[in-house]
Amino acid sequence: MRVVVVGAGHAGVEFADALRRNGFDGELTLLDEQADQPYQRPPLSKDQLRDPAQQPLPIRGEAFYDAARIELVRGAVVSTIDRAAREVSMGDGRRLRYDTLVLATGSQSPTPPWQVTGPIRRLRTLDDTRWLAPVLRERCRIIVIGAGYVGLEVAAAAGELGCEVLVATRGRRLMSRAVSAPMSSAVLLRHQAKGVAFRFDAVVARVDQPRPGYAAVTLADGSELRADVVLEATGVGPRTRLAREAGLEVSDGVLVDSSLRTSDPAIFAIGDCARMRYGQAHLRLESLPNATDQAHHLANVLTGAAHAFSPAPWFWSSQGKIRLQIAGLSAEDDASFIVGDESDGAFSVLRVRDGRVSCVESLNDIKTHSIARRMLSQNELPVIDAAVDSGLVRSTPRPVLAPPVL
Amino acid sequence: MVKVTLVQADGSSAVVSVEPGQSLMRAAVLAGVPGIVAECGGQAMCATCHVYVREDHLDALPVMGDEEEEMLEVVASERRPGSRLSCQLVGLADDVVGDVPPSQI
Repeated sequence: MRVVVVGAGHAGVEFADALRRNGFDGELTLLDEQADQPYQRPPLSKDQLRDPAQQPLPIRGEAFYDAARIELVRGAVVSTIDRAAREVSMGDGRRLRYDTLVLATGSQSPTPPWQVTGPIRRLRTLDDTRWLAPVLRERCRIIVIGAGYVGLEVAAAAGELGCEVLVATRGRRLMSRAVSAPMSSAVLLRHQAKGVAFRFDAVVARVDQPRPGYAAVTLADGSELRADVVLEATGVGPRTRLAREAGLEVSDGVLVDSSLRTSDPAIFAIGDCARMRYGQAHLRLESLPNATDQAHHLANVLTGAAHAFSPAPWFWSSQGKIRLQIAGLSAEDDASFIVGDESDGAFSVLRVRDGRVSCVESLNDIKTHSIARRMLSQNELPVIDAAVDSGLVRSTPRPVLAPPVL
Repeated sequence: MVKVTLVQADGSSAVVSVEPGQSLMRAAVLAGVPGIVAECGGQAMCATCHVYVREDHLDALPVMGDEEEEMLEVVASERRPGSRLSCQLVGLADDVVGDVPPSQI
């Protein structure tokens, strides 16, 4: 019995570890396209950017792979899957047979919809951090396109390092896919207080970076923004080429059932690349805790371990002194109730749907977050009264009637 | 440099050397100690680098901050008196012995 895992990010490595811990005794191969030892990505836009000299934090130490009898193949770029022969082929002509194949291919940045001359600078890999960190230390002028987690994490780090930072987003508020309007506003004020500048409704038409130290962003309205470097941080999409070309069902992610099985019973998908059945719908989450949850769930599925899978999604972002922790999943039209004082150092926003708490967004408010994480890990969403009883709401929550105008 | 002994539930143990300024989490992950997951990379966000420091070694630890105090409420294994997040254990005053909890997630 041989299990082959494509991708050695958090999902792939956690899965391999969990499968061995569950007693799997067959062959286990982890194919990693990168040359570095599998490393943790969250620090790339935070600590590793501030202190590039420190050794990158691996997902598991070097000794782990041999000890767990996991064959880690570095620099292994899988080019095709032959489902009939149950084989994967690598770019260098190597082929590898599998009994079970796990796709943990993660996400990728789509090609930007604007014109580009010169390199596209992003922050996704250790090599990207190795490139950007020394540039930031020269106190450059940087334009970050995109106001999601990664963009704002880089903006905060760049500001701390003395750079002149402008965040340009086509949206009207920060992290609009991830948090409520009141949370966006509170985070915006904190970044502005640190000197980060913002440009909203900024539709980018072209980005020119013809040589180091010269960069320009041209907006659709004709205005031009100048800097030393432009970083593109407009988000990622699922990496599905292999699955699609192999004829698996793909729709904004590799479609998997509640056992993480794709349309081929010998192939599974986990992490950022997978769109999993949750109740009546499919849901794809780009988050590390989700990758870990699915990795453990699949290990249990494959080894027949009895368990109930009740995912409790949560997310975090750390932007300088801003600690954002989010428990649960909200829909855009969920009501918002503020707990605490948003002008103060710490507060949370309760998102409520049909009288039940769907999600809790916390800014430097770990106490509320920790209660919310425990409550939302139950199978049923807590009703708002239970949230009050649990101590989640320590003061009367104030409804937000209309989103504040920026 | 101090030495930290981390004992697993099965009785096996590893001795980890922790450099000055380095967290116990980082030293343990680099050394490949099983059961120290640390999925947030050391930000006191995820509570998956939980260790039980044995009682007679508590004096060697840095003071616990509010963030760590609150995050210990969401650890996967039960919180006990010696519970700490190893990412916050920087600047240990002496060698330490601790136990790795049965689960982190």
